[in-house]
Parts: sequence; structure tokens; C-alpha cells
Amino acid sequence: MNKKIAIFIAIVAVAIVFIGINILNSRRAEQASGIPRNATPVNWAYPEAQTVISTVSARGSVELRDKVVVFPETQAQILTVHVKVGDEVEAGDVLITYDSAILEVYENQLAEAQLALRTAQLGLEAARIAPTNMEILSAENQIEQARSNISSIEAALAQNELQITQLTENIITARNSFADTQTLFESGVVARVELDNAAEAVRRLEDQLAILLAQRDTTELGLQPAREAERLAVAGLDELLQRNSNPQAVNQLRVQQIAIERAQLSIEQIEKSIEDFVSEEIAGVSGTVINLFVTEGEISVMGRPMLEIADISSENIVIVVHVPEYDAGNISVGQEVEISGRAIGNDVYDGVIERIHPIATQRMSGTNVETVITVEITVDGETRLRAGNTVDADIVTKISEDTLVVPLMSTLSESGGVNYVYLVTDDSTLERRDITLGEFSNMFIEVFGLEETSRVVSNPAMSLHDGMLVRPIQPLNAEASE
Amino acid sequence: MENELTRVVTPEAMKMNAGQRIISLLTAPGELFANVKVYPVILVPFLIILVIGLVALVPMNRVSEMQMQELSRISIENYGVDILADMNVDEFGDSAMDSFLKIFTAVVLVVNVAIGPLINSLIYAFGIWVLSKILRGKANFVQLFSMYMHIYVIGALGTLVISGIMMITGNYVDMTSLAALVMPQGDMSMPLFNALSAISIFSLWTTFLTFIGIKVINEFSAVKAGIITALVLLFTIGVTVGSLALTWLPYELGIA
Repeated sequence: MNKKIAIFIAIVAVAIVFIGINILNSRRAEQASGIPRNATPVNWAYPEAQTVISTVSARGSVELRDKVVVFPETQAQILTVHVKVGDEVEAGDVLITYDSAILEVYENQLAEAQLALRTAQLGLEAARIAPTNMEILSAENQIEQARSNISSIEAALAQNELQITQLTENIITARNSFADTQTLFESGVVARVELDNAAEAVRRLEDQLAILLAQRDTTELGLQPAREAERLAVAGLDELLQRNSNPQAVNQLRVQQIAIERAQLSIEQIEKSIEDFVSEEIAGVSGTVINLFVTEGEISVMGRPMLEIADISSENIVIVVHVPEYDAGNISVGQEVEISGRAIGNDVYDGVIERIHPIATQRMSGTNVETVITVEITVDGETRLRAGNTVDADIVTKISEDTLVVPLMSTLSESGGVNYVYLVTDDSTLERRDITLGEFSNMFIEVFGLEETSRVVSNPAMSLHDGMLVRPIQPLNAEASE
Repeated sequence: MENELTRVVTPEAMKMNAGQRIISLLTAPGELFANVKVYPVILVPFLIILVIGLVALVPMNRVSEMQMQELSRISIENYGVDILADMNVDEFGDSAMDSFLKIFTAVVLVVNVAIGPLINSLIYAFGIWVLSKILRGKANFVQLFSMYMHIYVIGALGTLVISGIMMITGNYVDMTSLAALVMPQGDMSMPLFNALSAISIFSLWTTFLTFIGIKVINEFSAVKAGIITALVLLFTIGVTVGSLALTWLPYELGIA
């Protein structure tokens, strides 16, 4: 067992010696190269003097500057459309022919409207008839008769009251006479017959009084109906006199007046339709039919466009692009623009900003809404651009000539907006240099704060730091620059 | 020594514990494999590998960074592009994403430490088993699997030692390999450097153990065991060089 362990230890010792030799060997090689093997490799490049052209890119389309929209002059069924999209037309050419059968319909409608007007006028006259004198006189007579009845009843009641008063006095006198006769009869002065006669006289007068009282009650019962008859007669007269001024009557009058106005309006419209009816739509300008919105058989609708005619030559086109609002401050009228697009192949046209719309608008961009400024660009001369083409516009906002630039990727920034680059020094360490950034163009950016001989790290990783030892890798253009 | 290594262990031999297995592996591998033939244990070497692998994670993490940096340097120097540029998450400045990637990487590493040896041993055991059957060996698959799990302990130990030396020296070159001796300034893009890197103290050691194991368990002659071992070694070097070639070939061919 000890022999095995000894062999094992010997093998381990040899291995350790082997490893030690290797480590020493490796360190010698590193010292020979001067840079540790694990130093971070960095690419570097000299800043280049370039002309930086700053542009704002925007996408838009080619549109026609002027176009004529043809609206229908009449409302009728379209019999024939004489043009199609792309047709060249001259001013005066017939574009559309209408079906004249609509005129018969108009005439029937006019007759119906006139009848409606006459009916409404008759209704108004009927509503305006006043009460006759005979009706008023009859009503007044009824009032007079009612009042006469009341007077008669009141007179009868007064007469009745007088009779009751007189009879009451007579009864008192008869009762006094009976009392005296009874005294005399009890004294034996008069006979019983006289006493009975006195009693009979009192009873007869009391019977008469009862009859009078009953008559008065009956008369009073007739007074209330007579007064009600008078009130009704007076109300009847009032109603008659106010026949044209009560709300119902007024409403009736207004209804009839509206019916008349409606009928008159309808007549006017129909007469105007008849008067305005044209059998054909005529082209007002020469040009090309660029849009057609109607088909044969449909009814034209006033105010809805039927077709568009425009001059589609290069002189009449304008390029409309939409510049994001954050670039709006850099653009101005007169700036040069390079126009490109798939529709014109590899051609690039020079244009000029002609107009910048004063108000920003919002447009859908994918699923987002972006705020843009609409810019109109003109291109001089004959071009291959056609209305509707999509184009890309590069608006030249600034040109900086012979300025130092570095690749955009070589710049770094930290919070607070401080921008910096790393420079490779002669002893292969990094030096942080704060810089000011200028214009940006084509993956390069204008920088201030560097010299043409600065060796700028072009692939700065986040792990780099000031003073760090690195393994600089010679760029392909370094010798040429030096 | 030949007799000792090829001695047949009787079924009455004692089953070894973990400590005995490690000592035997280092000092008397013939005895160990004779025991493995009777007791083809898998769990014990697996646990040993797992422990060593987890400890090795610390230096491996640093070595991995060094190798990435070296890959970056080589790609910039040779091809003008940073081969790892797309893998740089720092530029996003997203600490949440950074943390997620770190956790994800750690999980992958741990799983790799646990599963890697099993998969590796299964593949090698299967290959050796097929070759053994062709040469009419007596070993079954489980015995060879157990054998290779034991041999893998040396591989894991090698990973720990090599990555530890790399971490200490700051040099990604395997100081136990021929590459460190012959090409100290070589880099990972050189096929010869990689081939020499594959020939190290620990690879030779595992090759030697593979030879002993095959010989003992299959009861093979030295020639048959040598043939299979040589094929296994060629396969290992081929896989090492091939995997690195897959990294560099697209750039060499200009298709990346």
C-alpha cells in the first residue's frame, strides 16, 4: 500500500512540476508581449474630417395640387356615365346623362302640393267664421228672459211676505178677541155661540197663514233655477262673443296656416327642381378623370361628389410629407429635399419645401398616434412621380463642412447629459475624454473636444473605465490616417 | 503491477464506501474496477462528482468570463466583429433583465453540473459497451456505466484544479495541458492549440483509467483494451475540436 501511495505522490509531484513549468512559460510569453493576456481588447479609430449633412427624414405621398370635383346639378337617376377613370376630357364634354322621367314625377308632385295648399286655405277660412247677430240676439234674449223670471219670482215673494205680515196681525187681533169673549162667556155675559164663533175666526186665520207660508216656500224654490238659467245664458253669450279668441280656436288657425306654408314651400321646391333639372353634366375644365364615384342607375345626391378631374402633369403635383413634431423646429420653407421612393427606382429628385402647415395634426402610425407637421414640397421639371406614389423625403436641415466625426457607437453618455469617449493612450491605457456632440449623419456624429490624432475606442463596453489597461487592436485605416 | 491490476475480485469482496473508492481510484484503480465489476455502484460516484462540481462552479464562473473575453478579443482581431456583441446585456442597462440572466445562468450551471456527468457517462458507457460487445467483452452496460462514473470523478477533479489554476493565474490556458507547454501564446481559434489543450494531465489520467477499467471489467487483453481506449480518446479530441470549430467555422467561411 505504501508503495502505491509513494507512486501516487511521485506522479502528483511530476504533475505539479509540469504545471509550474507551464505557468512560468506563459508568464514569460506575456512579458514579451508587454500586455497581459487578459487585458480587454478594444478597437480604436482616428476621428475623421467629414462634411456632415443633417437631414430630417419623413415619408409622404405625391398629391395633385389642383383638382376639380364635379357635384350633381340635379337629383335624378343616372342614365349614362360617359367617362371612366383615366379618361382625358375637354371642357364642354358630356360627362353624365340623366333620365328625364323624373320630370313627370315632379309634375305629379306639384299638382298634389297645389291641392294640399287649396285644402289648407279652405280650412283656414272655416276656422276664421265669426258669430252672427241673430246668434248674439238670441243669446241676449235668453238672458233677458231669465232675468224676467227672476224678477217675477222676487215680486211674488214680496207680495206673499206682505200678506203673511197682515195675516199675522189679524191672527193676533182674533186671538185677543177670543180671549175677551172667553172672559165674558165665563162671566155669563155672552153666549157660548159667540165664544165658538171667536174660536172659529182664529182657526180660519191660522189656516190661511199656513197656506201663505207654503206658497212662499214654493216660490223660493223656483228662484234658484231661474238664477242658474241667467248664469248659463250670460256664459253662452260670452262664449259666442269669444269664439275666435279661445286657445283651441287659435291652434286650429295656426295649424291651417302651417299647412298652407308647407304646401307653398313644397310647391316652390318642386318648381325649382323642375326649373333646375338638367339632362346632362358637362365638364367645366379640361383634364383627366382621376376619380369616379357614381355608377349608372343610381340616383345622384346633391352635395355628394360624382367625379374628380385634374391636370396630372408634373407641373400640378406636390409632395406632401409628415414630419414628426420633434423635428419640426429644424425645418423651414426653402430647405432642400432629396426625394426617393420605390416608384422611381434609383432616381433621386431634388425638391424644395414650399409650405409648412401652421397646425400640427395627429396620424396613426402602426398602433400609435403621432403628432406631425404637414409639409409640402415641390419638385421642378419633368419627373416619374405620379399622384398617389409613396415617397421618402430627406430634408437637409444643416451642412457642416470639414468637421471631426466619430462613429455614433463610440460615444457614451452618463446621467446629466455628459457625453464622453475613451481614448487609447500610448501606454495602452484608457483616458476618458468629455466631448460635445454636434450634428448626426449616417451613423457618424460630429464631435468637439477631440484632435485628429486622438485614438478613439470604437467599441466601448460598459466594463471599460478610466486608466484601464487594454489590448488595442490596430484598425485597418490607422496607417493611412497616420 | 499487471497482475495486481488484472486480479479478479471474488464475489465475497467488500463493498467500498465513498472514501475507499476515492483512495482506490487514485492509488489502486485496478482494485476499484474489480470491485465495480461486482458492485456496479452509480450513486456514490455521482454524489462525489456533484460535490466536486458544485465547488468548481466558483472558479468556473470566473474562467467562463475570461474565455468569453478571449473569444471577443480573438473575433475582433481576426474577423473585425465582436462574436459576443449580441450577448452583451449591459448595453440595455436593464438591471432586472441582468438579474434574470444571472439567475438563469446559475440554474443552468447547477443543472449542468448535475445532469452533465450522467449524460456524458451514459454516452461513453454506451460507446464502450458497443465496442466491447464487438470485441466479445464480458462487461454489461451497468458495469461500464458505473466504471465511467468513477472515471468521471477524475474529470471533475480536473475541472476543479484547472479552473482554480486559471482563476489564480488569470490565464485561460490549461496549465496541465500540452498547449501551455508548446503554444503558450496560442488561442482558441487555433485547431492545434485546441488539440493540444485536450491532451492534459487529467485527460491522460482518465484515458489511463479507461484503459484499466475496460481491461479489468471486460477481462480483455491489453491490445483490445488499448484499441477501445484509443477510439474513445480520438472521439474525445474530435468532439473538443469539433465543438470549437462550430464556433469559428462560420467566420472562417465568411457566412456569419
